[in-house]
Amino acid sequence: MIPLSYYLMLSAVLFAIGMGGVLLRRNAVAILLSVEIMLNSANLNLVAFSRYVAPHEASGQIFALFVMAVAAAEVAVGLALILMIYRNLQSVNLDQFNIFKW
Amino acid sequence: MGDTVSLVIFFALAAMAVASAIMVVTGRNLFHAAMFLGAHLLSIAGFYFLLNAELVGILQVFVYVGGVVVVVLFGIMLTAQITNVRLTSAMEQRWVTVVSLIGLVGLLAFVVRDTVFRISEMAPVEDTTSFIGRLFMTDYILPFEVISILLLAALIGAVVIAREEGGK
Repeated sequence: MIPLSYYLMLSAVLFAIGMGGVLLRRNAVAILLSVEIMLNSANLNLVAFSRYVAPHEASGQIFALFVMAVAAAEVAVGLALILMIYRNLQSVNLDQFNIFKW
Repeated sequence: MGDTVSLVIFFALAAMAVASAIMVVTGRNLFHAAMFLGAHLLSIAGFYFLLNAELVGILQVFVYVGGVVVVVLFGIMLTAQITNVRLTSAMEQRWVTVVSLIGLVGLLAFVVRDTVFRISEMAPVEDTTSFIGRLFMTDYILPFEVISILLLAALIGAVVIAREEGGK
């Protein structure tokens, strides 16, 4: 069987890639895509632990399904916010969205 | 399934997942980035099948590749800045970010190496779909209802936020 640590390392790398996208991109939609990568790496961890640590319970899979539902809601609300920002500023670059700055 | 076969599948899927994730994060064309996100999500679904989580894998394909990617494509087209997105922030910020991310991965590798996980030798659940369905209706009934209310609230909230101001 594939060692559990392989899955953990893979999802750590994917999480880091997604986080790099969140920190470095300007475009709000690109940041949303990177957040999806991060959520998926967490999901991969949950399912891998479910398979290796408690394979007869499947509770990790249920957690992964909840995360998926929340991620879908997050995309819907996030894109609505991005559309709103675009309508007001004609841009989705977050460095131009600084009206909350004091 | 033999060990070698599953290892080969694992590494093929891992290469696909990492490569497509990098393409999503670094690509200049947002439309292409969304397509690569679809490929990334499909490879993650492959891992779920490898881990005997068929229901999660199928739902990954339905919800993410079928739903989320399409919604994101709508968002990209509606905001109309498809090509030539200026990629990143200032250079110094980029280097700090890359160094700290490498540090994060190194720290996690250290933790994973030194932790002893209690690997169970039990056989996985045979029929995950009916098993999880039963759990949703018994032990996890409250979270299940809460998540339905959350989804309803997100749906209404998205419509309210995205609506033209003043309404029609």
